[in-house]
Amino acid sequence: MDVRDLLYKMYPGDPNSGLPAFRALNSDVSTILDAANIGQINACLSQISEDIAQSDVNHIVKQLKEKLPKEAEKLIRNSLQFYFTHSDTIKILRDGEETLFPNYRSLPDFDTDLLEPIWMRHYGDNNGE
Amino acid sequence: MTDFDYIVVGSGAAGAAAAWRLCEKGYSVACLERGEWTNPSEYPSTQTNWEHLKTTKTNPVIAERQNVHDYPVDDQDSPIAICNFNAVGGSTILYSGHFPRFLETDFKLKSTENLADDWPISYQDLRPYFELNEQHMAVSGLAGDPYYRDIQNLLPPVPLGRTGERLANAFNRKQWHWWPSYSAIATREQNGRSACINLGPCNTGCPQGAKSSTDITYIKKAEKLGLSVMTGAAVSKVLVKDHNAFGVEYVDVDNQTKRLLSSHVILAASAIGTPRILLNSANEDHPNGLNNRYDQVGRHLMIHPLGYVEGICEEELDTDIGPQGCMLYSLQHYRTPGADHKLGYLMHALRGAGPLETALSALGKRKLKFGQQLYEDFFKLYRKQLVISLICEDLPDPNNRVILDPKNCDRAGVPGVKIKYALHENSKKLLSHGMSKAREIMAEAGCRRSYAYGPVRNTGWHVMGTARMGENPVNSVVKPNGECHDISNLYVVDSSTFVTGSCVNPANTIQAVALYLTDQIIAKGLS
Repeated sequence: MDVRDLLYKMYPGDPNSGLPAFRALNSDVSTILDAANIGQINACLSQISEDIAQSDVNHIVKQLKEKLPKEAEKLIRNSLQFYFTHSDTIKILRDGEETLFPNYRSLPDFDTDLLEPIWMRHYGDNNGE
Repeated sequence: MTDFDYIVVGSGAAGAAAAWRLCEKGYSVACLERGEWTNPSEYPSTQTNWEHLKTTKTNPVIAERQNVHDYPVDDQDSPIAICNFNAVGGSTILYSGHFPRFLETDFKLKSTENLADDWPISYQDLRPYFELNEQHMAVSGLAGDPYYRDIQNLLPPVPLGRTGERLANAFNRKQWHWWPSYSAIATREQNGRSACINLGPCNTGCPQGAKSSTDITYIKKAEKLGLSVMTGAAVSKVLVKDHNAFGVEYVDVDNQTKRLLSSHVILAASAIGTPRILLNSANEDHPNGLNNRYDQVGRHLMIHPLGYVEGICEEELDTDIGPQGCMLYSLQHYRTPGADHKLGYLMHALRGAGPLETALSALGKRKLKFGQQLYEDFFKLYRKQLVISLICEDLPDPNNRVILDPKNCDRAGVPGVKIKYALHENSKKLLSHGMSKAREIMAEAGCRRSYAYGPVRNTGWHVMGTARMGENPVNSVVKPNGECHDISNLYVVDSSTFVTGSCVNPANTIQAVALYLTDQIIAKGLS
């Protein structure tokens, strides 16, 4: 297993929500980590003796954090940033819209009835006068 | 010979308001801004990866951002990092637009509560300027607030959504005060400005133009009246001869040192930038910096310590829709008789986080696993977070201060600043009390779990007090009209002049004070 395989396991995709698998995002691992970090993590993964393909990915991440804490932290944060700001992820979370602007999102106007307890407490029947 | 009637340093909340007022009265004005014009079409919310961009070029923490136009700020000796933005519009480009006024009592703490000092001006002095400012900044809200009975003439309030209604009902069941936010956000089209479209992250810049930053309000109006805006102009010192200001020295974008002459210099570079300029203007006659005979420049730095309480609901709400920092607020704990603390705090409801921040928040709480569990963990939080921040009043302490840092200089070789700041014991009590009370609201709102922490480090927006106003030069820097005690025709109009800091967002009061002081400056010039 190398870093790319690990990322595929970390982000397998979700059939319920439709959030994409990392595999489907067609990205080069170098967009997440630099070459030195990739090399270090690959070397570490090759030393983890268990059958990585069958193991719980969180157990692998835990071992990585124990052996290479800084690199593991970078992998986790950078991959989360990549995944949760990717347009394919955003489009699912925002019903097809890739960006916030210029997409108007409606909210009902403020309901002044919500303030009735405050009006009554402070003004009684005087309507704020 | 002078180049302009007035020079205003800084184009943020205070500088822009002052520049406009001077232009409106017919004066020739140059506004020098060390940053550049922003391009709203490039603001983060126009991009898919806005949450990443929020941590880079629009990172509010100046020590992390380090844009070419920034000056170094070493805030390692402070639990709160200094936040600002250097551009035309200043920090209003990134502010949330939450726009309450300081309250009447805030100006007279000494005489009413035997704390700190009274301002030499009153809320009533500022009241017409609040009203003027709220018209120009297109403030939305609702009249009738028991804490602000004199506020009228507002655009309709920003919508609460289901998120805000849940919180409002919780406040109602507790019988606590709350009110829709006063927001410098146009909720209706007005004077050619577009209405808010509920994008969410106002604090990354508003490409819609609905949030009232000063570049699209006061500066735009002032330019039509003849204002000259000089960008990339990093003012390094005020020029003084025989205790009279006669201009400024600045460095332009080509790193050329230049002078601009005027018989009136107005500093509005923020409570960090203004003392920096005064201290850096030291000369033979003023070896400790301008107007610093009694070592007051840079002292009494006040910052609002911020607490943060997040509650997690079971069902999905609309937490990411609507202006992020404007929804509703509560002054229920403005004062709490019998409590173990003095003064009080504002409860400021915020909208929830975007997808990345949600995931990182879960990670930070050790509530995020990978694999298929990732999605279950993510959706337990996404759009289910209710948030209340606590803005705590800070008492002025002369040991909290801004000093020059000659070891770290900006692009022009001008020293940056070092911040020395420690939390007041009263602030710690306020934070503790506030977080506990906010958790009560979260429980009342039906949140299955809540998290609280403070002071939040990257929240040092509300900086005040470092060139405070007063009658006595021994313990103040400027007179009640904003003029420096020892230097004629040199004025300060920004939040540096504040004597106390209230517990509410200061932008509206900063601008009201700037407008008031500008009228005082004009009156002095005419007399």
